[in-house]
Amino acid sequence: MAAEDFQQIDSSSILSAQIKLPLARPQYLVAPEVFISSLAGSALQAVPRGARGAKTGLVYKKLPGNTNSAKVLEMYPRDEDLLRLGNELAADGITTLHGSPMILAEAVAESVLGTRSAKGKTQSASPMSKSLALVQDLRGLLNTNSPPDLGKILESLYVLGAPSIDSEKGAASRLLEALQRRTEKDALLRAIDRAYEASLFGGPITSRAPSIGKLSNEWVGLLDDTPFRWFHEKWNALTSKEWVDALPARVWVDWAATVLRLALGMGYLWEASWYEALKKEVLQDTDPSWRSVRSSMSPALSWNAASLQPSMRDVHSPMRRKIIRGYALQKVIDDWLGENTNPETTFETAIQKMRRDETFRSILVTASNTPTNVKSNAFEAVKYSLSTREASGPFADYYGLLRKRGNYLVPEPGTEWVAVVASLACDGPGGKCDVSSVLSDLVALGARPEMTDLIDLLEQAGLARGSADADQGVIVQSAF
Amino acid sequence: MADWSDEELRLLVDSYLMMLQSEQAGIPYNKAEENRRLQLRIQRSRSSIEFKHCNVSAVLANLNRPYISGYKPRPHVQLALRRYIESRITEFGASEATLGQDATHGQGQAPAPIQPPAASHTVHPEAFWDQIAHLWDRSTGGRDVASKPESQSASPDYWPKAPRPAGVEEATEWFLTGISESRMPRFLFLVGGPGAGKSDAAAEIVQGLAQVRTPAEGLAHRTYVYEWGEKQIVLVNDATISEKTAKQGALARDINEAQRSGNHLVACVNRGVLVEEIAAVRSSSQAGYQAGQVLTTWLHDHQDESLANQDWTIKNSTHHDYMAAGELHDGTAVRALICVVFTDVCSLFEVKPKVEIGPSAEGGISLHCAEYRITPMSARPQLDLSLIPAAELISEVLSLLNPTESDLGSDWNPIVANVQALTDLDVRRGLLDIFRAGEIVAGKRMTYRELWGALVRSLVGDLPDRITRGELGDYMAQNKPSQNSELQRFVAMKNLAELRLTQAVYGARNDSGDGMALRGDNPVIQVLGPVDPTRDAVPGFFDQSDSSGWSSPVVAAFTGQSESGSPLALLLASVPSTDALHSITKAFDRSLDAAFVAALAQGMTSQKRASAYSWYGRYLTRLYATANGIPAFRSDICMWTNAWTLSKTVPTPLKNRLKSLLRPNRDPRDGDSSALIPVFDSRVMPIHGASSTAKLALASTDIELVSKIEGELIFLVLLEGTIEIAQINLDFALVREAMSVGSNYAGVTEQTDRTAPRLERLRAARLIPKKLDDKNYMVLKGASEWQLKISNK
Repeated sequence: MAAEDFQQIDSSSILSAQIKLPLARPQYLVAPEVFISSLAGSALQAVPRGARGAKTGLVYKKLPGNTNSAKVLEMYPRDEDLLRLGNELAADGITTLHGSPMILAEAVAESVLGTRSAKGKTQSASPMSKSLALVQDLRGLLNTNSPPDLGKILESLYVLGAPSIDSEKGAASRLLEALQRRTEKDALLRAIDRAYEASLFGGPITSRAPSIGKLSNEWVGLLDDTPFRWFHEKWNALTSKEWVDALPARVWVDWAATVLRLALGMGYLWEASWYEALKKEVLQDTDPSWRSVRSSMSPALSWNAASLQPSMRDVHSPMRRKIIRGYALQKVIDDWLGENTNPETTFETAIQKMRRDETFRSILVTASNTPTNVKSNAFEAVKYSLSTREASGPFADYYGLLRKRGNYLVPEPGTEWVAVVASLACDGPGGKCDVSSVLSDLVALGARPEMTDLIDLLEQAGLARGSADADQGVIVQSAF
Repeated sequence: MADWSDEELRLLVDSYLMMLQSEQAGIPYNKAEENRRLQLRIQRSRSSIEFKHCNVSAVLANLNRPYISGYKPRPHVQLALRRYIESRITEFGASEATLGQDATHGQGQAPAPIQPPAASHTVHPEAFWDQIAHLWDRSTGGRDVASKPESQSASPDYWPKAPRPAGVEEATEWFLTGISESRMPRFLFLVGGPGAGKSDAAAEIVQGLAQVRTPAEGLAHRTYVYEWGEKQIVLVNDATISEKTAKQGALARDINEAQRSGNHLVACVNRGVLVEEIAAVRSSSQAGYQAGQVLTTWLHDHQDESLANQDWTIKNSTHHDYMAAGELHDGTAVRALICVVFTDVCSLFEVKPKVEIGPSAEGGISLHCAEYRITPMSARPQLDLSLIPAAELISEVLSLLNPTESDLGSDWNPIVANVQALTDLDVRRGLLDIFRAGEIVAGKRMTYRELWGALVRSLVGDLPDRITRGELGDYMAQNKPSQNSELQRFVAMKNLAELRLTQAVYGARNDSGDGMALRGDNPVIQVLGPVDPTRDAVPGFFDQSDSSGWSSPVVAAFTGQSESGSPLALLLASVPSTDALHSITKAFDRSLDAAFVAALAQGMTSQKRASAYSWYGRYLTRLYATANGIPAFRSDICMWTNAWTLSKTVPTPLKNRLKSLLRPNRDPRDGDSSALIPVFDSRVMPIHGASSTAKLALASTDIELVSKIEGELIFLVLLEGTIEIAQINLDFALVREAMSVGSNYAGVTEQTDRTAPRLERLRAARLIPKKLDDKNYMVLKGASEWQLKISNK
């Protein structure tokens, strides 16, 4: 759909239910791998050996200094588990000539390690298969009994971006299909998957229905040119057999985590912009319409020119303000909707009623001035979804959009982040597009870098192929 | 075809003169017959002779002499022709009104152009500075949109026209002769980035023609329409200017409209416009393409699959890197002949390839293009500069400038020194080599706009960025070195020296002192800053070989002993008398050198002394290297041009190093050690030495490298056995990175950040499922490694 297509939507057909986005509050997300693990975990179940009840949290590897409670189970194979892993690998036909099963198991256990943050006390496994996805969960990584249901949040984000009601599969289903295809294609990974399942879990990994229900169907088709639509389209592309077959196993997982991180981070920023625009709509006197709210939304993320000082490019404070005040507005709007509307109330009628409610108008103004120096789990989640974790070393994160520069957080994407976004803008693996297509995707996500900065980033990532006129005609080559 | 010889010019002018005199005497004559007669004598085509006759009219018009109205003046005149006519100007009669001037011509008559002085005359100081001030019009910056066609034709520039990019001249000639002779519509597309001379060429086509309707004054417009007999010529002068009503697909609509009306079309199109057009075509809900959609798609990619099975087609098409031609068909009926010039493909610093366009046997279009070739860097000293567009422009500009030695302050004036230096062919050649090297390193071609920017910098430094043209006289007067003290004189000369061409083209004024000049936003410095010779001064004496060192004479100039203490004197004495350093060194440089020596003799703090040595060392380094055409990283640039020349074969020294880069051994000292990459790491860095933890790895078998060429791009194809693993753009950055490999150890260069992601992806390509070889899995721990056996398939 073109950028202006939401203008074609008939505002009068939209109900008040389309005022509040059906998104639960996220929390700080400790590692990129947890996105895939949570999504896979929403559709799979297995009981780890040594688990003490259903509330046992899982981490793959505890690092020195880890003081997590005993309820957090480390899944990294040591001692007997390592021997069992080696034996399971051998039983599946994976052996070394002249090496011991223990060394093979150790090599596997170390090789599947994922990213590691500078101050992190745990290290996740890279979820390249179903069993590797299940060796950690948010309960274990956050060391909390009641973590948010990240899998459900991701499913909601995915459904919000659906172009039509007949979108057949959920995000988790597509993920599992992709992981399945990958293990079928890769004998070593298949053996590792089976060996982890057999050695670290008390029984087979089984499927369960992901908890998406019909929670967001009323939004289907409305949110083109948003992070939700971008997520839906790119997730479908990335989980297709073409892309699964085109990428190395680890690269596929890193790309998938990048798409999920962006969907969550930019999705919640979009949500905050939406409530900000709703507030403006209520407080002004023009004819209310769903279209005018969409049109008046501010960009989710300001991406100023790379040539400016970090202080001029900082997004930390603006993001914090946007998320905190957006959430405050959401709460008061949600409360008002619960008391003043029914399922048949249209969007426009609801806005007109809000306008006539002087008390509500003043509550809105107060909410939009909420102090921003308070703790916000949603902000932490957005910030860490978009930020680069470890910037260097063997477990560096090359897939972040934001990077710390002194006291500031600035848009400065890693080379592989650029590779993911640009490659998924191309017409498939090995394909090409032009820089305007990449920019168009970024705009849908809610970020608009300077064209020259974008071309520089693409060139640095080795993806831009020369053109004498440095404009939208620059050809972009998919990374794989 | 080559430029016209003296004999051909003589016959041409004789013929023209005969017709002109007949016209003046009222005696009937036959232009076509005269053309045929001339064809028999000089082996040139009818259209070529016709075009050249128009050039004669242009020269006469500029000299305010009568000309034949039937040959409308066409600019872009061969310098030799202009000079030849000037030499015979008395034969053309006194200055008077044009003969046979018609109403249209009178209406569109250009005001008398500003006349550059003849080169052979001595120029007075005021006139010289007036000439120099005109350079401000051509400093880099430029316009956002293409200028109006009438403004270009009505206000001839003070400076000569640049030669057209390859194919443009022939294509405009094809267009003009075709529309005169045939009713079949002709569509001419000039495709390329801004500043490539598209609108200038288009203006030449419509020069003197009456507009069907006059657009509003003031603004540049997207489209202009001109009368042409029963038809019209539609000129899409700047396709980047949007239509108010519908932004997307505007070019396709322009084409459709021209096609439906049976009009001729000239369109100047930026590549970005084509991208937008393609997006519009693809989002169109129409089942079949119309003529405009087919043509815009074809312009973007002539192999686009969507072109198949359309009613509208391009048939009998010919494609080259920089040109294309074909026939627009509606079913079986030909609707228009098409010619396309991609104006940004050929470097202005390479030999301009020859083009011939004529009718095909079936009445269509026949296009013959010489192959575009990149000259190996080491072969550039043998290049015939007259075949290089940039050299021709510089030559013509310099022919207009002629400062006298005595009265322009040449001993302290860097601008005079620049002009003097550039009149020397060797210096000009050296500078052109530097410009070309900048293009190769930057991976982009300079447009005419950037070439003019570079030339202006070569003549007046960065002054156009800092002062207005009106302030030039005051600036030079205020900055003339005083005689107060030796130190003050050196400081003043040092400041002026930043305007010297060997400093200015690299942006040396902003040099931080470590030889790494800041590039800033100036497009010329962005291209030339990276090849500043001070970034890579290679010890040795220059012998023109690919790997030659060159900087030792400069170093020796500061360490040797001379009676005067002059580094410049020592440097000049240490190089052969034929060295271009002698040609580039002017009175200004000798004054600067004397000021340096005197300032040192007067005494300075050790810090200032070191600073003066450092600055002057870099000055002489640039002076020597630029004169000899030695850019930074010359040996790597030579390797890149050699790789391009060899086309399918990667030069052996490069290939060996690329292999070390792409498939390094675990122990680089042991060529038999394994080449390993991690199987599941986020980045695919080769594994070196002992592994602290156990790890899974994939061993690589031997690889073969071949290359292929697309335009100026080289693609490296990586083969394992017969299986193609991946392709990578073998650009300068990768060549430089590869050439930094020593004893099988990868080096680190300023290009490492740019090449690392690509190299990793190339290695990672071996990890995708269909290219995985289960026999190559290994387990590592410490220095040991074991092969992994997989038997679960």
